[in-house]
Amino acid sequence: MKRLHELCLRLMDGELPPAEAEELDAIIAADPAAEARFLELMDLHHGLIALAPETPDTRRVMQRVWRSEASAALRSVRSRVRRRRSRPRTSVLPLALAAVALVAVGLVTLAVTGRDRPVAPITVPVAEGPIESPATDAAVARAQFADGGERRLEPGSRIAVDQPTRVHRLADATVAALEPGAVLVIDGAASWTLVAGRGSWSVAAQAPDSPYVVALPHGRVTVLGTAFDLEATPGWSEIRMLSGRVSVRASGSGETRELAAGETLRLDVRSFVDPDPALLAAWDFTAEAAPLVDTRSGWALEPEAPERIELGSAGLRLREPVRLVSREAGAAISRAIRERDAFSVVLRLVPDTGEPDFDIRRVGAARILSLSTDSHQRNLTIGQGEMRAGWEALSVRLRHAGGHSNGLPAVVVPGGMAGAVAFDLLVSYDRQGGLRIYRDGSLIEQRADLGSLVDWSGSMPLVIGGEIGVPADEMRPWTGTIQHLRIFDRAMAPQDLQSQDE
Amino acid sequence: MTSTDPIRSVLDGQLDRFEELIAASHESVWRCVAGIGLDRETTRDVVQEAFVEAYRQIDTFDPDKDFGAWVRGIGRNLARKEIRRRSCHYRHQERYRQHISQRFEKAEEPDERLAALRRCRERLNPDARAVIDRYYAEDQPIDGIAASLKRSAAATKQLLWRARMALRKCIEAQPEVAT
Repeated sequence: MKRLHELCLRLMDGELPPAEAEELDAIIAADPAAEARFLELMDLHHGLIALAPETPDTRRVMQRVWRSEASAALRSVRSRVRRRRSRPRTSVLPLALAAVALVAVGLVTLAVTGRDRPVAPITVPVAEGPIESPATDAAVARAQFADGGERRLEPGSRIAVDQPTRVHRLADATVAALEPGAVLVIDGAASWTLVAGRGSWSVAAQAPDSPYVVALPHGRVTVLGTAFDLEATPGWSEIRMLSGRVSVRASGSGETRELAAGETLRLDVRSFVDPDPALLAAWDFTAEAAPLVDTRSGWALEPEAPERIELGSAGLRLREPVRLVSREAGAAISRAIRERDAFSVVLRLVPDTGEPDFDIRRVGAARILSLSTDSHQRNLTIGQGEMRAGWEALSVRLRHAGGHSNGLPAVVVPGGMAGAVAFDLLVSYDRQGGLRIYRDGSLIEQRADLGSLVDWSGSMPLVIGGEIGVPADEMRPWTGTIQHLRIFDRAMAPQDLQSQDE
Repeated sequence: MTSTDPIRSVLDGQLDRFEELIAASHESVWRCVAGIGLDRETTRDVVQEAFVEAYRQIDTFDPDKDFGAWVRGIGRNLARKEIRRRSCHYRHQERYRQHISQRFEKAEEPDERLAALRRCRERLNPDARAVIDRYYAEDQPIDGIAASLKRSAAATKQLLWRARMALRKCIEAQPEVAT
């Protein structure tokens, strides 16, 4: 029984390696009394967890609710409105009012519960007061605010909204539902510009010789009769088609593409962007604008002590212990990877030379990047330094079926982090190839005997620079510079990345 | 007219008041889901998902019924699905999964067991109760607890273990709890 107790203790603390897990299996298989004791101890352990509930994260729940429900509701009502419009002599007023109500409810809810993802900082100057408008020309649009206010808009008007706002084109039933933070310019009766922020457009059918156009920072949408969502950020603009077709012109290249219902198109300053669908998140820490905001999905890494990080053309410099965290990114990335049972993490980094201030023999590797909640529970950690392999070792802890919830034992590559110049690190996994680690394109470690990622938690934050859920003096900080980070939900090889970067 | 009852307010369209419902019933839903035998991570996921699902189905809820009980039911079903979904590479994992699945079959409520555990925890000596509370209620790692108690990590682990054994003996002695 003493050995059973020792193994159960390790299991409860998240420190039972595979060999001892098998030993535990053998003990409970051989002795019914041992099995009964094991079940009692597990019940006790989980009972103590039950008696200690966590503080509810109500905001997170509401964000998840809004994201799934409001989008579905808006699209459903919009499609019903369009079907009704196609039938002559049918009043669409009740459905249109329902659409307005749902959009208003949805957008007000968004305003109340907060955005489900951050908007990159906007450098466009915003006028004082909600509207600038030159005098005397006849209004061509009408803004309807969530608080009930209204304003007629003449050509040349510029509005920066801090509440959900619907802008109606007076010539027809075209309407743009703007989210707080959006900036829209009414260039003319048939031409508007979304300068920044997000909005959903529902556009009435247009005559072929007088199209309706919405400009973006990186292109222009000419409406051929449809409904779409637009998003404008400093780094890119995106069009998501809900129905119909549009023609989109990229300002940088002059290229034009047509977009059909269900398709999404992204533009940047150069031209159209065709990201790999497996790309979940991408940070370019050398970027001038918003380097802590992921360019794929808009997730922001938040430093716990902003004064401790340096950002510049060299990248994200961690000179002192500091953690950067994104709970939203971590949860979404973990779920996507769990679903696909595959991932790749691509880092370009420069480690600091010199030994760390903490004892890696006692607390393990310095954490470069983690999906974890504390020092006992993780999906993945990429770290530097391991007890037997020294400070220059690369350490990868991966939670997999048949393994441990703490990702132990780590996959250790002696010398994997050696050197004081920038190098590319690729850590990839899928069921066929197992775990593969590449440095500067060369395979430095492969482990095929790992189980699936089906047990990954779907709620672990993404953390850069240290362990989360521990006191500040226990965070196992990593110092150095990270230039780029990309995360995919499929296993990549160096040649796949090379073709993407070309 | 504005209702002061958050349930009726939510049903009337004041969706932001759903947060009040979460805050009011979170603890009981947590105890129900965690009491089934899921780890902390999974419990957190399942509890959040239960509230999201409750929101989606809010139109089907009878405002005269107990909202917390309704969400606990949703949480229990989600927990059952999660247990079925999980892989069990080791025999001890599979055996524990069978054990907690049997609770579902018997429709056992965890309240009795948890009440006994709570009583037994109150009877622990101060040191033992401190280490149990810091480990489970405050989710502190062993190293952190050791530092705050000015003990070594090994001694703290030993103390935690003895506290668990003391709780086990106390629960066994409780006549009304089925073992």
